[in-house]
Order: sequence, then structure tokens, then C-alpha cells
Amino acid sequence: MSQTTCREALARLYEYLDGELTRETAERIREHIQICECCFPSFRFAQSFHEMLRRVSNGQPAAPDHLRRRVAELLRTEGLEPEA
Amino acid sequence: MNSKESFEAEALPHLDAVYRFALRLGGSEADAEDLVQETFLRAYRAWHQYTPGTRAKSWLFTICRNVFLRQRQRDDRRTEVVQQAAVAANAGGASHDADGFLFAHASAVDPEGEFFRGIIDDSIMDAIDRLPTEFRDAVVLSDLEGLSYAEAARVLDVPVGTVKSRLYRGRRLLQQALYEYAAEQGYIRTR
Repeated sequence: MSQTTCREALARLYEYLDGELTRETAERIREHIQICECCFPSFRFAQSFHEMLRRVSNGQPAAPDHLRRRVAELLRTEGLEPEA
Repeated sequence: MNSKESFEAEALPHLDAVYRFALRLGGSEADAEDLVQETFLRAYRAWHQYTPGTRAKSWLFTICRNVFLRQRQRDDRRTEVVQQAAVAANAGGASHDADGFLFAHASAVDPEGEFFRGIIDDSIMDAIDRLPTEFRDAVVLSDLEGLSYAEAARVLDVPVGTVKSRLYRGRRLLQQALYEYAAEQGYIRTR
């Protein structure tokens, strides 16, 4: 297994948080972050930011009911079956 | 299941997500509603082109964005020049290392980014809306709608590497804006 440097860990922090790394690479980054005093604060900072966006994402508005009805009506009156 | 039923089963459940995406593209709620209606109409007519088993959500986002861009070309009320100027200004100012200016400042007063927890959602959405378009779109698709880099790349019609760099820059700008907001509001003390 290759050595993980701080440079690599910091460069891949968001790919790690976004779940974009292969399992093996993610594991390497995770191990490095957990034990590296230099990288851990950056990780915590990025993680707080990431969690904030997830919270906002969960609280986003739903489409209003009248729009839901408009779209349903549109599809009904469109009449045509989508081309097969 | 006929095609109408499959459309209702696979596409319609994403109405909320398409509406949120349309809202973030700009304009009023009424504009967003018109955009959603047009998106679903076009998607319905083109449903035979959809590949079953791929993600309908990102397919709908692609249509939504294309409709929006075409409408904007027709009715160009937006000040793209101003936005491009903002991008150019940011390109010169932001740091290129992994954490840069913001983290260097924030780490002195709030190393774990606690201030992010105190900012209310409306302020965060305002800050996202103020990002330059190309960065905002990447942040919205990835961070708010949960698309993978590859899916966002298809919606935006750019390479995956471009999504990564836009996301990186967009997040940096957003962090900076929120840090300044938090300092103004007194969530953090900047010495």
C-alpha cells in the first residue's frame, strides 16, 4: 500500500467527503486523516461545511401543490403517448 | 407498464428536485414553475430517448438547464458581463493551496468550522445564489441535489475534471462568503 502524504490527503479531502474515491483510496485517506495532526483540523473544517450543506439540502422547499397539479394536468391534456 | 406509466413512476417523483434546481437557476418562483412545466413537457415528449435504469433525476436536470439556457438566450436580461467580471476577480484573489486564506484565518478563531452550524439556511441559500453561475451550478448539483461528479458533468455538459474544479472554487467562495457573514453577525470573533 502506498504512503499517503499530507498533500494528497488535503487535495482529496472533498472527494473523500463526496464519496468519489475508490474504497481502497478512501480508506487510505481516512487512516491518514485520523492520525495526522496537520490534516485533521482541515478535515474537521471541511466536514462541518459539508454537514451544513447536507442540512440545507434536507430543508429545501417542495414544489407547491398547484405546480404539481399543473404538471399532472399538462401530461393528461398533452394526450399523446410518448413516442414508443 | 406503458410509457406514460413509466414516466409517472420514474420522472414525476423528481418534481420537487427539478423545482428546487429551477429556483436556483434564477428568476422568480413563477419563472421556476414555468420552467418546471416546460421541462416535464419536453421530458414527456422525449421519454423514448431516456435509457431505463440511468438516473432520471440528472436527465431531467439536463433538460431543465437546456430549456433555461435557451430561454435566456431569447430574453437576455441577465448581466453575464458582471458575473464574468466577478469570476475574473475571484480567479486573481483566491488562493490555490488546499485550504488557503480562509482556513488560515478561520483556524485561528474557529478551527473546526463551528460557525457553519450557526448560520441559518436562508443566509446559506442567499450566499449560494450569489455565486458566479458556473460555480453555483456545480455546488447546487453536487451539494444540494447529491449528484455524483459524473452525473453533474453530464448535466452541465463539461468534463468531470471541470466539475471538480468548479466545485472546489465554488465551495471556497461560499466558505469565504459565509465566514464574512458569520463575522458580521458576530457568530465568530475575528480578533
